[in-house]
Amino acid sequence: MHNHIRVLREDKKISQGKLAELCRVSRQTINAIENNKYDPSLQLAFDIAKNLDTTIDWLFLPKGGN
Amino acid sequence: MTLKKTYGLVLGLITLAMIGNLIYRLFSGSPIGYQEVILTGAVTVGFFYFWTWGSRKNKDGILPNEELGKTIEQKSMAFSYYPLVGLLWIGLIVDKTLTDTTNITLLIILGIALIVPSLLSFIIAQTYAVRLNVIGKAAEEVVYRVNRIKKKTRIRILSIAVFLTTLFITGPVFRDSGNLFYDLLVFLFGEPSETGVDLFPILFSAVIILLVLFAGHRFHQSISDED
Repeated sequence: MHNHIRVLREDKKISQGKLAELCRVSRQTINAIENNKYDPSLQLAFDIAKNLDTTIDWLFLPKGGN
Repeated sequence: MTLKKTYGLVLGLITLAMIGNLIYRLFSGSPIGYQEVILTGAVTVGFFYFWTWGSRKNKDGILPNEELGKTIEQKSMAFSYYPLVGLLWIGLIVDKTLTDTTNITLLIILGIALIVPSLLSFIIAQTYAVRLNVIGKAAEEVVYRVNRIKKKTRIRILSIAVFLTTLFITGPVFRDSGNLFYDLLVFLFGEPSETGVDLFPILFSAVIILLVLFAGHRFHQSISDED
């Protein structure tokens, strides 16, 4: 699954560490999600979207989707 | 060099020394007791645990109780199952080839190892059934009751298990002293085996106990941080 987390995070000037802290996970988890190495659970996806002031459907893209 | 790296390096050297000692004993024909094997295993687990997981306080790695940590643990457990079953097969074949006997205990363990995954899949599948049957209801009840046991109680149970294991491992060191510690061990586990931990002095055991306490502290820290 692809995502727009890095773009939005950098846009909002939030570091990986800060986002990780807000979502109560490690920085490595956020890094893995940003690099498409790990698909988060629905709960974590909601937490990330909430902390970046966006919605899940904008933040995450299915494989092969636009 | 940071304190963590120094600590990890020392731990790595101890692990290497212990594995080297086991290999040396194996090839030199020296007796190897189960204490040595368990002790080496415990230190190796500690080494990998130390380098794999971080703590929320220090922000130095993936946490075992976050979802990525749980995914890593699930994957590693699933991957490790097949080599373990393979090793059991090899053990049986080697035993049969070398001594022309069949190790019944090993055979029973292999049988159980083959059955357990499919049995568990069957039980877990019942909990997702549209209409729960008796097995599904029982499995759900078990999961519910396990989840109800508070985290602190789980930590206490784990601490007692770690303490007893440490006593069990380090017990033979105190074999000749006949003190209360030794008597407690005999009371709990019976007489130790003839092959003692003669190469591991008390100081070394103290290091192991400290390592176990440190790992326990880190585990407790990571669990507490979650609340």
